[in-house]
Amino acid sequence: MTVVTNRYQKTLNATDFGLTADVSLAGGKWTLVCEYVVPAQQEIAVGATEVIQGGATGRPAYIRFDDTSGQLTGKIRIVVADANDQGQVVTEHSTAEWSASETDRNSALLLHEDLRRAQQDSKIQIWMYVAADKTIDYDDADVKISLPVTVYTVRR
Amino acid sequence: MAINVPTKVAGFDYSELALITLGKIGGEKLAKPVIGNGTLKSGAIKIAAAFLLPMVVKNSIVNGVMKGVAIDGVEDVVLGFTRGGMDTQGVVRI
Repeated sequence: MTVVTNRYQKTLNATDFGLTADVSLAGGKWTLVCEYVVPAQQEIAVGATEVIQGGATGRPAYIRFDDTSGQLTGKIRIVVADANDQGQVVTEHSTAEWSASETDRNSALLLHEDLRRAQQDSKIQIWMYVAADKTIDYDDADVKISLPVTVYTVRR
Repeated sequence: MAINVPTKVAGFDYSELALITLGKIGGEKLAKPVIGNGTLKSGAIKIAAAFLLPMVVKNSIVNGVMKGVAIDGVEDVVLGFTRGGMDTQGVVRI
């Protein structure tokens, strides 16, 4: 039986996702950009719900990928996958929605806590779809990942 | 050889079983958009409705349907306790 001993919210960034090299994206296909492996004794749900003025709302999420000439356009998916890469899409939006705002709740993409929890050794993955071949310039100053998640520390 | 078909199953006749099934399935579908499903909250509301409505509307059809709603409410409470949380539906672990 799994016992939850603590629960807190945090934000995963590009470093957490191990984005440390350029990523080639094939046009017309979904490509795995980067992933975060859930550490021992944790379960992680994508998104984080907080109550503001009596209403439950999600926390702002922001993802932006650029190549050397500017922001890449297309679609970005968050996938929760097990250790064998059998995954489920948690959310999918256009690059414009993902990069609308980092903090402004009125325009930012707000992610509620999802009911699916990635267990230890499972992965939270970021996939991207572009129409034509592109390359993510990982150290471009505008490349940023800010993905709110809810962490559960568990004992079995 | 004559075959005796039982007129009751588990103490209920067939018309009553049909009403209970209607209440269980129909009540769940109708109530889900408003109060949710499979949570402690939805279970409590269903049980309260199944308790109160037959007191107001004295009708055998309402009585039968509300038995189904009550069963669905108890199911929600059990699921709510096993999954944890007033508004928590099933957590899927991947």
